[in-house]
Amino acid sequence: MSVLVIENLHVEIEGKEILKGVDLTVHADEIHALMGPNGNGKSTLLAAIMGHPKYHVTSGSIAFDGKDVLSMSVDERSRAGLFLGMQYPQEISGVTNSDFLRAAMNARQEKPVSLFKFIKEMEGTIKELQMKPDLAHRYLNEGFSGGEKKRNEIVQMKMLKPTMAMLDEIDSGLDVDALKIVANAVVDMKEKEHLGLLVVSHYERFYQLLKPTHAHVLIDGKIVYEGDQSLVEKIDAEGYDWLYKQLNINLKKPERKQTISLGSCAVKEKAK
Amino acid sequence: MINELAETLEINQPQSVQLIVDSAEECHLCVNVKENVHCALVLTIQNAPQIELKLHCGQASQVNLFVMNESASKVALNQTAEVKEDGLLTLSFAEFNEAASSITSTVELAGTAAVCNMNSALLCKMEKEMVMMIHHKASLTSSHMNHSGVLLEGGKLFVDATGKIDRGAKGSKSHQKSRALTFDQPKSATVLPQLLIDENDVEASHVTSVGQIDENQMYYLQSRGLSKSQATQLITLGALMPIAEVLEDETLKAQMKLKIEAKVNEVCSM
Repeated sequence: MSVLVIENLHVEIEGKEILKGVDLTVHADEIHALMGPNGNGKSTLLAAIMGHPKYHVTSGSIAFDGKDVLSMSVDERSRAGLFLGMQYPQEISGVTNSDFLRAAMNARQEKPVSLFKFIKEMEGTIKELQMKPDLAHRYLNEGFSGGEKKRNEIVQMKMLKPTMAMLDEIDSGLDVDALKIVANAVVDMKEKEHLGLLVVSHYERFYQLLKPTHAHVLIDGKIVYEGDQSLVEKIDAEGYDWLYKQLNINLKKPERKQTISLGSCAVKEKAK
Repeated sequence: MINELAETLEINQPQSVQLIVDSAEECHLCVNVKENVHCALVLTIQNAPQIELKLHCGQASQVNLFVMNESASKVALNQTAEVKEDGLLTLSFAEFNEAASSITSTVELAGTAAVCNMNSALLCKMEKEMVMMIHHKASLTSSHMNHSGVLLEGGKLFVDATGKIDRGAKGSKSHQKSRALTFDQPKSATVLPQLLIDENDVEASHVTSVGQIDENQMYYLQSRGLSKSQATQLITLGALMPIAEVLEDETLKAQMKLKIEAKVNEVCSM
């Protein structure tokens, strides 16, 4: 059974430290909800696990099934069984969904997947996610609506069969029905394939459908509070203020430079 | 097979024509397509230092000309076309060979509501130059240019694409999109999109991008398990493969796709 172990992870981007010591363990068959206010490092954590070149791990470790993830390239991490459903999936002109997915499937197995098997599986997955049948022949994410892009991420996840999946705000841009379809597909995969999941979302509605086994709150680059689904419900009802008070967290607000225009009163500006 | 110095082709009825140019001397080819005739021409250049190609598209004709350059030595192609009223010309240039080339293409939309769709896909390992102009001389004419180039090490690309609309060509539309992907030196590609407009009642646009493959696109593809070279290969194929879609004959289309795929795989795995 797969296990992802993150220990004391410090990550910076362009010299600015975003993650300041994250510890987290996700096992197969578990759904971990990762919550926290905007700009506190949730997406950074997922991108660092996947190996985005802009994120620099300064210390700490990530192990997946006992293997050192940080020494692997991005593609090696994917082939090892990690998957990241992205917040902003890239559009790639001229590359059809089917060509891309077939190449990605072939990259993770010795024998190329047969065309018949691939088409059958792709058609089945498109149907399950209730997407338009022409999806396979459309260019990768080009001209897709926000919701279509997110559903297409789940199509890819189903086809590539990872053992540990991370979903970064995959529910944003989905309408109520699409949200259910995506959640059902994720839960189905977790039950059938014993998938482990680390899910970032701001909405309790999505978590209600997923029923997370664990919940974590990430503030200022650290996991400051942990619990189960009841924590998600509490945050949905009360926000994060109670946590700030309880944990005595004082977030420094970034300094904003006031622009002085020609119409400003110099005396008043000086007095501020 | 054309190895004569001059040839004239009269097309009076719907047909598909495949022409192969193999000549050590300068070649002159003239194609006249009569009114209301729908035809598809595939011109494969195997060898020719200089080609003069004249095309006349009659009233309400539909002409699909696909030029494939496979020559191992430098080719200079000078192509001109005239499209009459309600005529539709689809003009495509595909080059995946490892030789220099120079293409000059001038299309005159001479009749009302004449249309020209011009496409190119160039894989550049040597110096390639394209100078194209679609000239709108009548009202309600429209044109779309779509150029795509991928530059490999040592390749150079120069594209000058002009849409020209004369005074009086009311309601005309001129759109162009050019894209050059480079693997090393972004300076090795030059794209000059130009719109010369002498009429107020028109629609015109151009989109140009020149640069290296986007880091985020590479990351996205790699995050699905593709190695760097597989991702590069896929992006290159994505830039060049759409040219095959203009071929109407399904067998030719499939053959062209295989040809492009084999060539890209060969050069990207080097």
